[in-house]
Amino acid sequence: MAFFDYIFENGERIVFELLRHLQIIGIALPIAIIIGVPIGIAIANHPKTANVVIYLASILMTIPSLALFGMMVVLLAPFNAGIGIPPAIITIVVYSMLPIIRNTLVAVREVDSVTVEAAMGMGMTSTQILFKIRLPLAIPIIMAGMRNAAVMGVSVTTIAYLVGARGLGYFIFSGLSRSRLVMVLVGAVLVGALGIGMNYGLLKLEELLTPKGVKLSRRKE
Amino acid sequence: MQISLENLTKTYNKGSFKAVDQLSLTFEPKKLTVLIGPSGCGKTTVLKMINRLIERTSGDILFDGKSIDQIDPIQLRRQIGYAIQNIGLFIHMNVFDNIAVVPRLLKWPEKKIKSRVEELMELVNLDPQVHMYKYPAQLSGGQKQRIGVARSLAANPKVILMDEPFGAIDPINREKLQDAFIDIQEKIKKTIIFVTHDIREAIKLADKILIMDNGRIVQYDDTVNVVKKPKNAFVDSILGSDRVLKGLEMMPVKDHYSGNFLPINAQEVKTIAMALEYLEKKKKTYAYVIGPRDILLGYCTVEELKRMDQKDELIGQVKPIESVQPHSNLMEAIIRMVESGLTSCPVVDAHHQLLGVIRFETLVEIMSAYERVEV
Repeated sequence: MAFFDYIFENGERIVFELLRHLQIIGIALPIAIIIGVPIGIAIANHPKTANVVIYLASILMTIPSLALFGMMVVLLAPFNAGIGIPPAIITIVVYSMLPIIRNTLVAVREVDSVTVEAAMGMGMTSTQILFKIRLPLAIPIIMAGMRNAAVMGVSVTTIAYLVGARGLGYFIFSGLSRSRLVMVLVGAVLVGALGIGMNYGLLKLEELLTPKGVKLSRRKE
Repeated sequence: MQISLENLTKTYNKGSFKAVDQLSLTFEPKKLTVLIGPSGCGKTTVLKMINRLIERTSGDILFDGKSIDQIDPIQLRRQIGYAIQNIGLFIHMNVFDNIAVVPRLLKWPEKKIKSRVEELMELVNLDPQVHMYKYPAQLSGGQKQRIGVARSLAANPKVILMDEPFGAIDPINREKLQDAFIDIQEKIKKTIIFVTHDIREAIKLADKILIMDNGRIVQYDDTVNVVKKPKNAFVDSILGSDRVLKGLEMMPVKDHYSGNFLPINAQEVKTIAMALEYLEKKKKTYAYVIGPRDILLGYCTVEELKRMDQKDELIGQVKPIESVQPHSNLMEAIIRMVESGLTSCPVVDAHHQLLGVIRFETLVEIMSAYERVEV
């Protein structure tokens, strides 16, 4: 019962930290998309470059988030941004690179070659092929990459509490230091629920953005 | 538009493999030319060099005398219709948007595009009301193929390139599409270059056939001439052992039937006895029977008339018979002969008026006129 008591007593705080959590992801994800999708498109036709880029993005992902936060604090200190939201955002952007670039790359590359040839044969320029053919067909896969990144962002943001970004990490880390298990539990449940909710919301968005014809032909398969 | 190839060559692997080798020929305007040959003979390569999806190694392609190098490839492709085997419809676009692709690239006003799309859908026999806003996933294979053809015609190109456009369709629907396509070409009269590996399709559709092997021309001639006079054993093998019959399929009855025959007019020859007398006088074993306004009623044979009651009215004893029309082909006439067991087949017009007969001797003459090819 202590669990619910805590929630009722600290409703305001919970809403505040939840919104902060969302705010961090809400800023970081678009930045990651703006950087990652064009990179994915740009390297799609250059297999060698693509390999290198994917390799680098994978390495970035293996850096423990705590280490990354530590680096940010030092690197951003001269700009007075070592503490707070900026390191959290940058870290999420860095981690998001792999799923977003990789999925964009695969999506654009895997578009049926017959379809692309037809488009070329009809006199589309390569820019037109990209925006009228490749990207609309690639939306579902690109969106899957974003979902991946968003869910990861939820967990990374939790740790960002340690560099003063606040967010739901507050309940977990404060709870731990005060040995208040209820707080930790509330924090963990909220983070989990947010992750699931985020995934579901983006799934709905994906449904909305996927062209009708693509959905129809997938259903057929 | 007249398209000429001059020493057109495409090599791969630094010249070690010649996909197309010194090809020189002219595609006749407003005619349908079929490129045929075994896989790897270079037919698709030739097609794709014409819209520069593949760049040639040497030689030239001339459009009304103008070198392909002087034409911007993007503009060139927008002026050439293109239809391919797996159709390549854009699955995220509905039928309307698919057909409208090139007109939109050419920045036609939307109103003009809409009326053009409707016109084209009617041309390929798809009801715009029903199908215009459907997506490819909601169409059958045959319908998709029709949209593919409509799309290639969208911006009214003078030239259309087709790479096995009916290849992925089951045989029954393919026949239907080919028939529809013949009607369409009859109406639009475009310069069409059509790649296939199906010789039946080639003979059925082509005004001219270009047979290729190892990147070179083996024979390039009117379809009739190719079928009648295959240049060598290779062409003969492509045409197949039944080429004589295939040839009959492309010859219309109207060029070969005879109006010189003696039917029995049932208005004058009223009884069995009179019919028998007439046939014996003319030394015939059977005759067609016509009624008022030369309408074909059927036929009667001496053998059967003899066994009948001689006082009976002829008109009640006439046996019905299947006929052909002038636009039918000689193959159909043969089939009718086999069905009836007679040595001729009646030719009638749309009102079933008897115009003449096509005789078995004529067919034998035509078939024996085919040159034999020594293998």
